[in-house]
Amino acid sequence: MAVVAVALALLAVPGRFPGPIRQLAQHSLNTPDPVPTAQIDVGALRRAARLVPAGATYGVVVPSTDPQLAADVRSIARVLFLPALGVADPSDADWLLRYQAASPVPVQVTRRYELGNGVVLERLRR
Amino acid sequence: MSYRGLLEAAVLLDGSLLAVGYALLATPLRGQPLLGWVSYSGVAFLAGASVVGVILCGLAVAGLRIDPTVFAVVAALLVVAGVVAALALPRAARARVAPASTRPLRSATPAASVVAAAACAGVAAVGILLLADAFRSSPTLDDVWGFWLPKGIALDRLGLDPRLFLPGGSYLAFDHLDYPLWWSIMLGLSERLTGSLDLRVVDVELGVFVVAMLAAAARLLASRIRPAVLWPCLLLLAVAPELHRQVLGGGADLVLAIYLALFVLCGALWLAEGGLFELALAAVFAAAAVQIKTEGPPQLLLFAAVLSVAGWRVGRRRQLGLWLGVAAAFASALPFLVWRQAHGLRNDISLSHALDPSFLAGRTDRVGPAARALGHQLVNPHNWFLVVPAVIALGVIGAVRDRRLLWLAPAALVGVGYAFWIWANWGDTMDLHFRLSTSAYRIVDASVLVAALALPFLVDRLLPGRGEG
Repeated sequence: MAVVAVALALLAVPGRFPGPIRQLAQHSLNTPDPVPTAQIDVGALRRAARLVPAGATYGVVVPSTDPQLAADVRSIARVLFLPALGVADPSDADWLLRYQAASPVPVQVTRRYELGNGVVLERLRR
Repeated sequence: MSYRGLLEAAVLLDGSLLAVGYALLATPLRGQPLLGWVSYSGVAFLAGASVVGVILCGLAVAGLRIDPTVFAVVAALLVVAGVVAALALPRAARARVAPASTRPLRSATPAASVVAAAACAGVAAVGILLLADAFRSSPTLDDVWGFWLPKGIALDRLGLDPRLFLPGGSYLAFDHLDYPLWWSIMLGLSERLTGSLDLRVVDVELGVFVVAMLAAAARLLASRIRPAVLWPCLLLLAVAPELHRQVLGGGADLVLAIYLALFVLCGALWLAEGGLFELALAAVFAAAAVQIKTEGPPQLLLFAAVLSVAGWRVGRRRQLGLWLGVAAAFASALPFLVWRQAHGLRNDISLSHALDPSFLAGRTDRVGPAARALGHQLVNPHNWFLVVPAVIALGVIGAVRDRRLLWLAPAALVGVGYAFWIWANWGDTMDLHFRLSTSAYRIVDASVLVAALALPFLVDRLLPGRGEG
């Protein structure tokens, strides 16, 4: 019982304990979202994911100047958009996610969603 | 911040895996008192997870979507099968597979009792904290959302869909297509049962596996190691900073290491004592190790080989049993291996390169940096304290004292794990600095956990008073 009490106290008020013990109760990453290396608006990606239906195809356009940002956006879109399917070529996609970037190829947009922070989701005509 | 979904997923998934494990252990444990059953909770959970995961891997290859319904049916069938077997088998058959020794050793002195109780309480407290931390931490390793979890979600919603699990099409296939499906299936089910995409569930599952490993190790060693030695050694492992970092990191390496280390422990107990219970556990733990990552099978073979050499005096029956267990583990992975082969999927690390002397000769400059980086991870006290150096030092002391090389078996196990990873990095074509900086800290996990579970044996046999309690 004493062990449980101490553990609960540590969880409730970690600041009252010495540093090495306090570290056992660290929780600085308490979020349901991925924690990528690059600064990414995961909330905007979640909003986009809610709009893309299961089984649809999507492409992702990211700035070519920042490889880390590009890799992180692609991988986070992958996990959030499933069971929609990612495609390499935007012209094969039903939807296009543009993350602070313009489309590299001409596309016919039937509907556009501005999701904040330069994140845009577009429904494409195929 | 809501934890309800995480809690529900943990209770449903891990509770079911525990129930399956207990059903599978029902035959050997029948007749044990209630506390005896409770003490096997870690073993039961890890065995249940292994068997359920292996079957679900086969069903995924057969074309089924691995959703909660399929999981529930498989779990229910296994529970029924386990209970029926326990009830139907005659007493003599049950006795053959029952654990040989279950009664924990007692402390010889009051002081030893105090040490053991304090350390045991410490392990319990750290386990609670670890789980609580896991509930409040999102994984930091990008592999988690890059492919481990997405593969699991895809297996749940779409099945083993060639558009995502095979390269070359217009769709974006996953990275690391050669990796088996076991861990992704566990994560996919956890995510589905959470009810929303909450990546903290990955850390929760890792936390549960680590706590189960501590419980399983305690159970398997309690009847063989004095408590005043066992519990401090387990506490040393439980509070290792790197163990906590990796639970919160979210990688699969830790789960693989847990199963490999428990395979080694149970394999060694089988060779030493000849109990069928430990042999069955070794095979079950090996089966999971083969299906978690592609580096599982070669490490399993190396560890089995070291065990086999260390136990060369035990006789043909036990040696044969060990290798039959390993063969059964490999056989359980056949569906995915055949599917992989049929679709031309190769290992990320080319075996032909790694075995080509001329290829290796042209890149010997990779050996030194790999050896230094991996060695640093093994001996750095800020990671795993001094578990590995202690195992090596105690092994040497014991070998000199008793003039028996068997003392060096744990050090040899660590050594082959270390040599394997030097060789893997030597034959790899990826930028070495990138490879080592992103993976060296976690690929040594199996060697470290093997050492950590060997440490209590070494300390117990070296300290005076063995056999008093």
